[in-house]
Amino acid sequence: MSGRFELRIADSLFAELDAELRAGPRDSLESERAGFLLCGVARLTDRSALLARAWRPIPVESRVTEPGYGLAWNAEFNAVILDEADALHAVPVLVHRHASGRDARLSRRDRRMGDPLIASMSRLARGRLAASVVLDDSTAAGILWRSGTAEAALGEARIVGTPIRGISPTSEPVARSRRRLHRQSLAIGPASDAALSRAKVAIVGLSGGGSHVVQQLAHQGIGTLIVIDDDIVEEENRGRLVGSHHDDDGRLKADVMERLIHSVDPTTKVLAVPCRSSHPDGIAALREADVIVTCVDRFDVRAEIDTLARRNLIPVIDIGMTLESDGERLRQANGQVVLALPGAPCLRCTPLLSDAVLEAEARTAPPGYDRNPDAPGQPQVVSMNGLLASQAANLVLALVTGYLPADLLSNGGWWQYDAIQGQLDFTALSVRRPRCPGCAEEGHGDPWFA
Amino acid sequence: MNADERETIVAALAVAFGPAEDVSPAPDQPLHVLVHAAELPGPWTSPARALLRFTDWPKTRPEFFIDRSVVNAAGDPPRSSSEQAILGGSWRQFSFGFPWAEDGADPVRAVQLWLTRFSEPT
Repeated sequence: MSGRFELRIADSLFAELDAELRAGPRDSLESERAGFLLCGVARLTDRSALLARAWRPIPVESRVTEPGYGLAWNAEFNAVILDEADALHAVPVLVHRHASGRDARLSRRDRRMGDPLIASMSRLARGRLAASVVLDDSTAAGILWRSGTAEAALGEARIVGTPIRGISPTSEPVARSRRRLHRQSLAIGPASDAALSRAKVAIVGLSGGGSHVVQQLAHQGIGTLIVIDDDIVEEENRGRLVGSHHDDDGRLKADVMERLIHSVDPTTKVLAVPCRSSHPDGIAALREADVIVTCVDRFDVRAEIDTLARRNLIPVIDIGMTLESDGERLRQANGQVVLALPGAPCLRCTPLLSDAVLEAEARTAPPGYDRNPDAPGQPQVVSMNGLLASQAANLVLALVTGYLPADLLSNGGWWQYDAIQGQLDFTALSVRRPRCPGCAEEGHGDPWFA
Repeated sequence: MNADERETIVAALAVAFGPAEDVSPAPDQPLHVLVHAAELPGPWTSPARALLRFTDWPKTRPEFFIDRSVVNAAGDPPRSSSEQAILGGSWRQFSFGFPWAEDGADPVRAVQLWLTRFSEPT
């Protein structure tokens, strides 16, 4: 069993699970609680990620007495779980908790009871997955089964909120201290350096907003930057493309960003993806990210990325700026930064990507419109893009290091920017839209029919 | 669209075009149907997977997406096409107009009309 897998879960769903598992015995017949997560799957380059969609605690009416075990339940409940897993095309993951104070591991008793159950669940169909995970206060362990064979050990349980928390099989902290980040570490804590160096952030759209974001994230010390844009530099881009040189015309923007990042820190890993985010290479690159920052013009592209991120339980930070001018004087200059977290409202729950906005764009500028060389470019000012980009970079920092209070952004947020007044106003996102098409794909991961 | 209507559409498409299945992200979302092997005329790559999305059925025709592997003799995708990320994968959408009337809307007819696009070689 050489492989590794990740269990990824939105903070709000983890809170539900954690409260249940920590609640303690309901009576003298049990000494622990357990339940099943139903998960989508994303097959990433170095691991499979199980993406939690639903939590089903074992109800008291399904419990049976089994001498020597802290908790046992009947086969009917397993059948209910398998039935729901089939309906959702999901993987059942048995989760329970130890309060040992040592590094979490599946005990001999866990394995004696759990292995046959989980192995048999995974054996019901060819290629089928099932898993078992145990959590401790600060560590986690688990085994992923495929078709009756133990295939991978848990590498990390990732709780996606602000911050994104990784729980690994051991509690040993990984220290990192880069001299160039000394003053940042003084501000947001000595542990921030290691967290930033482990982080992978994707930036889609590398013009006035995206190039600013890339530059700041490179300075902040993000370990891996994924830069996605199929466009090349043209003379009229250079008024707002941070990091561009006078002789860059004709170069891929993604390559220019790679050069910019390496001019700050040659050790930063860069994945330059010179294609659209809807291209298979773009989709594959986005799925690897811990955080996605979208800096694109089109609303339908935002919607696609938002849904893809939601499928893979990845937070999205979106920035956008709209300037209205009479040709000589700026009349309006409004922008927004939106943070959308898994388990909380997505971009399609907000007015940014309402059905009316998407329908209007489809009428006036259908897909492919931006490839038309005669399409008029929208007015932009680099310094106004820069303010939004700075706030986006702050939010990446918050997600990766947790420098903000955890409950401040638990439901995501919207920062409205009025560049005429120079004002940035924050509103927490409120409720998810009923039957939201973006949220409907939360945790689905890879297409099950692929 | 209720569950019976969804099943009826999927069944009709399966009879006409071979294996088809409901791949909608949730029962309360627009019907998405995957046609596993739609036959396209030469010189286009065939058979090919096609995906239909019934967003405002029957008032508007279903959206039609074709597998990215579909190319003509020169190895080019249909002109005026664009890639779309749908249901976690990459699909190709193309512009193609045909008359549509809500009265008598038929999903099989809709797919047949979409497929006539491939009578053009580029």
